Amino acid sequence: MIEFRGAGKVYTSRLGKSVRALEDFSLRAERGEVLGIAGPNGAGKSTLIGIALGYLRPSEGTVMLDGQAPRAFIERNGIAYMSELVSIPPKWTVEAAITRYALLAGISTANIAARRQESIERLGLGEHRSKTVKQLSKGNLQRLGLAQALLRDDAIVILDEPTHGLDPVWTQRFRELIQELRAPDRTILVASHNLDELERVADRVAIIDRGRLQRIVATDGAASRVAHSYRISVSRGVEYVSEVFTDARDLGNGAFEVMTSDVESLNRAIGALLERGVLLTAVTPTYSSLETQFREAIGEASR
Amino acid sequence: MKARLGRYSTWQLRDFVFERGIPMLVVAALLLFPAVATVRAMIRASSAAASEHDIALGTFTTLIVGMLGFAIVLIATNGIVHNDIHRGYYRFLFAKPAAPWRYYAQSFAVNWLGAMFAALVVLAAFCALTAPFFPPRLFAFLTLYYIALGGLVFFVSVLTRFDWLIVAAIWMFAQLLRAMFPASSGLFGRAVDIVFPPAHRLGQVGNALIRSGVAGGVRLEDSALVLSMLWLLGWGTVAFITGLVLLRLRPLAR
Repeated sequence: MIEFRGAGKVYTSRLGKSVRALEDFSLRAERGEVLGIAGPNGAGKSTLIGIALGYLRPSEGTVMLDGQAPRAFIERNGIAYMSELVSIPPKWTVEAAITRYALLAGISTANIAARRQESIERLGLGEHRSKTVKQLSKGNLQRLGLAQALLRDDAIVILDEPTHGLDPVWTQRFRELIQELRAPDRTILVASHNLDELERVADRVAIIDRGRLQRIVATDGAASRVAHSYRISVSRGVEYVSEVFTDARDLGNGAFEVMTSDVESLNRAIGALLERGVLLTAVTPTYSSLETQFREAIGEASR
Repeated sequence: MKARLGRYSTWQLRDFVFERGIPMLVVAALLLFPAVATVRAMIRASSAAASEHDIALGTFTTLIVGMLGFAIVLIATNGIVHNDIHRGYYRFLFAKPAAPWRYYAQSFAVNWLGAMFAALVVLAAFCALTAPFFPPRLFAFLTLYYIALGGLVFFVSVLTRFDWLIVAAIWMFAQLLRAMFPASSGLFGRAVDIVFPPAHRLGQVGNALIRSGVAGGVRLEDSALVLSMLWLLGWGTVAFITGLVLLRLRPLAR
């Protein structure tokens, strides 16, 4: 479990200028949960994670990992952590890096070779095992970062922008990895800019902006509760769209952007279009439900 | 499950060899080259066989007590903590069940071992090119040098970047202040003697340890010498332990 209680962080420059990065942040990620953290650049995500790892000291409030101070917990148990910036010495080879991190993770000599092999295969790094870190592409470096994080079955997993730089195949594979990592006694925290990804992997998403928690969105079933913007395309009966959706915005070539208050009213309106003989070719949400909530939360924060 | 730091020391030793050992030997070669030429010329000019040993040992002692010892310790310890912090390597290292203070204390010990081995290589090369000699207390002196100067570098490295530059400046400044205000000159002189690193004691200790038993060497039984050795040891140890305490108490990121 990861628990923030009224955590705040103020950075003070050497000239005495203060910048508040986090303010009165309270949130609990439970065991068995995947909690997403979303926020625009500079929202305070990295500060939040730095505090959770004990790399930064909060100016106010407390952070606990399974009831212990972060450093005390980590130095006793370790956590699976991957940072947004994968910083590994450039001269280390993939294999040497995994071996070193395995030793620091406390894996026994007898198990190191097997865990290294498993980890390299799991993240598809087999053909790169002899390459040095500086020879790796951005995506492969990201996979190495994930490989070192997932060497053990840690109770707490913190992943900061885990799919940054990954290609679509490995982004999909990452989602599968998160599902594999789900366990009743494990807490997983994923910070990402990618709302679509968070909506797919997380149970709840905490939206933060300007250092404050703006909203917590339960991703399951969120689609039915929020207002949506949809893009609809029709190949026949274009003239009826504005009749049914009075605020429809014509995007040209039979495409319209329409707003609905919920999914039920969208279906009723589509039924009305079909009754008028309109031939629909596509109905797609302009924003995902999380995206809509995110925009609302960020909009509220800036007002 | 705890980090297996003992096993990890072989990797730290490997890092030492490639990142510090090779540059250390290159710098040592550059410093030794003119000295070797000088010693060979002096040996050729000297008629007594016994003096070859004294000439070579005397020159080597001057080098080790001076620039060579200084360079060996600075190369072995510069950026020992702060390089990992500045480059962000600490993020993955200490997400594992490893305490930073233990990790860097071990790194300090491993680098000492590496520095001693490098000094042995330098000594062997110097002997091969000049005259054979072996000062058994050379390594005791280098250990004292490592603790006194390296302990200070360690402490500064916990706090900030450019640790070697800052320590070198403090080291030189201390020498300058001591020349201007000797300990016997009054209260300020005594304060300078206590507060600033005991760089001035290295010459006396180095000559005594490396050249003990040789004509011109200082006797080891000298109480002032013992005090100097304890002072060097204590000063460096306090700086090193303060660094460890800061690593234990302060968060790594700024």
